[in-house]
Amino acid sequence: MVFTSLEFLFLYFAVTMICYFIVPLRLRNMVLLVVSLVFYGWGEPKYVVIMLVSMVVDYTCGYFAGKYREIDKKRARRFVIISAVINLGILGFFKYYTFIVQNLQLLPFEFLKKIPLLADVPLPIGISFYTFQTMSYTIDVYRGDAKVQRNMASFGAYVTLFPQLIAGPIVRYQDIDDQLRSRPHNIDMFASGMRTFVCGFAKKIMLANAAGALWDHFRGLSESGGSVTVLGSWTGLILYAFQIYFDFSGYSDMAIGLGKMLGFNFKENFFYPYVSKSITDFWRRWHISMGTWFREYVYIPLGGNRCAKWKMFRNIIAVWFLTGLWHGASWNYILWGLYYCLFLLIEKAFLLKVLKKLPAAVSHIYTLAVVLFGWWLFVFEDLSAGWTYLGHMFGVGAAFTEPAVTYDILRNLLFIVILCIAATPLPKKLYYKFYTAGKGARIAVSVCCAAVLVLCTGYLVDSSYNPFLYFRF
Amino acid sequence: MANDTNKSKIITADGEAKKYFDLQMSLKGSSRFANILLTFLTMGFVFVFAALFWILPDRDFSPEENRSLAKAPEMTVENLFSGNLTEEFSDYMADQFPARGFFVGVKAVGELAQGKQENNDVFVAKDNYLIARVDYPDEKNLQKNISAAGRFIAAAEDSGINCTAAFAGRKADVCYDKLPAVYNGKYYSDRIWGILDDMCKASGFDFVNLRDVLRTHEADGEEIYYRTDHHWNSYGAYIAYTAIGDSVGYKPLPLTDFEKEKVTDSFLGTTWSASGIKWQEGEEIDFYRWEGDGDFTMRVLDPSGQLSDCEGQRTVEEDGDVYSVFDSYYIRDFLDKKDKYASFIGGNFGYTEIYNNTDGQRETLLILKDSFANSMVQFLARDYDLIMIDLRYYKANITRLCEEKDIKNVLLLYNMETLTESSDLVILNTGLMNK
Repeated sequence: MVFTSLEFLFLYFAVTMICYFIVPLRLRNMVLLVVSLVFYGWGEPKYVVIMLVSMVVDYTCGYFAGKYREIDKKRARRFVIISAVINLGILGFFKYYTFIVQNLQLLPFEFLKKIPLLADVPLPIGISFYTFQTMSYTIDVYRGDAKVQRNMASFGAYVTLFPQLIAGPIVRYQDIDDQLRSRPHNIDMFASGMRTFVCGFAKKIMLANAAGALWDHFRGLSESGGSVTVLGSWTGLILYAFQIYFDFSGYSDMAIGLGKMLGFNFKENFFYPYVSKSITDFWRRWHISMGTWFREYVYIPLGGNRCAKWKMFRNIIAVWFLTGLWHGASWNYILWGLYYCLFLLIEKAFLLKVLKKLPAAVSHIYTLAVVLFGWWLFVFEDLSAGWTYLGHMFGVGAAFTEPAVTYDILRNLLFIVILCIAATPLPKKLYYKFYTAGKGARIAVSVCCAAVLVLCTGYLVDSSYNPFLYFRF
Repeated sequence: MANDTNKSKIITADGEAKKYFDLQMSLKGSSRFANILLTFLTMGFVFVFAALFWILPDRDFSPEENRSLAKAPEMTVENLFSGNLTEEFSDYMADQFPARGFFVGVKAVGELAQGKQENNDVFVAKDNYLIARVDYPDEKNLQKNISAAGRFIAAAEDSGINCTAAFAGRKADVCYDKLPAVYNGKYYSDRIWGILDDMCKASGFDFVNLRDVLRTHEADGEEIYYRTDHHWNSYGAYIAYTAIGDSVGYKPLPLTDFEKEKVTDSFLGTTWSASGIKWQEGEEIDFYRWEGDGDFTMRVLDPSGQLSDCEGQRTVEEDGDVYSVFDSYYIRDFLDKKDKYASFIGGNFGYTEIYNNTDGQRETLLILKDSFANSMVQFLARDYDLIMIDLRYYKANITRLCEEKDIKNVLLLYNMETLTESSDLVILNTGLMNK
């Protein structure tokens, strides 16, 4: 189930909130586990089994890792390895099997051709997120960053927690260990959570979806070959950059907001990445929970930067290869990861120092340009289609513009300005200025918040509204 | 991660979030009321509409959208595990959501407030016109249709049948002045009509360009199309009637020979439905009446009995086919429904016959048509008995039909949308291969 659907808001959410708040405190984790399983199983109930496997594995491994970590480090370590192998095995099979086999078969060995390509290995939703989360539990326990969770319901609630189940943020166990044992439930938390949720909801529905529709439109024009324009191609890719940001950060906001309603404090996942002054800066602001995960559980265990220089380079490259791969089973994602790796290394070597001396505008333009072409790598799984599109951006076989393209850009000009402003911290600053202005302002915020929810519902309902011009068939 | 120095100097996302959260908490006492209000309003909205969804009875049909609405899915274990249940439930909830029309309107307001000038691909154009967007029509369909029409016309004329092809513009082809200037509707319209010209030449037939004819009148400030619907209005149909007279072989009568009857002023058509512009006012539909226009019989091939509720309808079975028969080519029942344009000949059916009751000697004109032809009947019926074929619903051999009914005169009357959005004219070639 996705948050931005009528069945989530007007069925699942309504029922879940009633169930959660009428049961006594000690049963709330149990309720969370049950409703989260329903949330996950809503689309395809079969995949609940995979999640349950992951959950039981880490409950057990975490238990033994905790039990032996003081007395027999080696033995404890073995359980961490078991957890990692099983989780990565699950992830590897469902997400990467086809990709790996297809690439192996490109090698000139006969026996490789015999590996069967399973038709349509399904990709269970959110698998990249929850396998990472469960692994973090066992590792945290092994490292002594968290206590063993003996309560199956509480542990289950952590693994399945519906707010961040399918699109993050990736919550590390150590961050909510205490909150699983006790957390505050009050109307101030709830209202604060609702504000964050509605903000994310609006980002996703009104900004991301609308930007996405325009990107599809411009990409379609470019790919159909009927109306190829330079202006349209640039606008399209820029709109895609907005779409992916507002989509992802909106989803994170919704998760954080829902978490807050339930008494949890999740860490922020995005921090205005498009105002970054360098790629290094960008990656401190984009999908922070994933960056943290790779740093804590891959980069630092490999030795981080406290080791020989060649090892540090190896570590950085390994992390970015994996980061790229994590985003999808296709070469373009790996290239995308390595592309960032390259810029980060260059910045580390000298560019960062240079950028500091240059005017801020130059750093911003440099960063946004690198990020934009990053998205170009990211969005085209088919590289040849990507090259064609890039060609159009630079005028290869493309007119500069044509009336409908100009019109579409002009009529969306205000919307594009809104997108630009919304990607900066300005709205939040103004919002807090307003919020602290007085009681009347806070009441106005409450009313606006409800109004935005109604408006977003309008967008949801409209998306199912399909006037059929002719007679019923 | 590649650079984990200087962390203390950097404001982190979490630090920022905590700062704001602390700020909110510090205002706890003074914002308690606002927080209660917020919770009450948002959760109240969610609970009320959740409850209404279950309480309100399901609707079967949406007249605005002209389609059946999804019904509650079957609760079976099999359905659940295949994932069908939840998918169907999602459709069901969307289709049966309470106050659906209101929410569609809310979204339209949201779009226009962002200065977008259109919603759901409908322009909110000048003079209260709603006009569907048409930038990039499907040229492949157009090619298929025109080639098929060309072959059919050539074969028919070989058999001594007089054929007229007349193609009408979409609203955007004729009313492009009302569109935003930057969009340059004329450019897109001219482009596709240029392509049509070339295709017709290549297929060896001429057509009556109704777009140009209507355009002249539109430019004079006359209302040719409905503001809220994609069809021409009755006056637009009249102009088209005068333009094809020469080719079909009749002398068009002056407008004064008809008497305009305003039958409704609350028509909200298909473009309005798509647009979500709920605040648009209804408009009028006119019938162009003449003495003796009541003396007609209309037989509509209606196997599923869609017209059986209409006043004056008789069901007749003939050779295993079921017809709905009426004493008029207007069906006024529809004037009380959403789809008021269907008051012209009852809407679109595969096969419709309209003949005069007193004069048995009149020539029969076969019309291959889309819905634009429906409102032209009131003019053409003055000279001809009519057989009207809608190829979307009538997949049969037209050549044989011409032989059976001894047809000597055929009119192909289509608007650009039909020519580009479907390829139904291909059916015209059924039976041609044998010759």
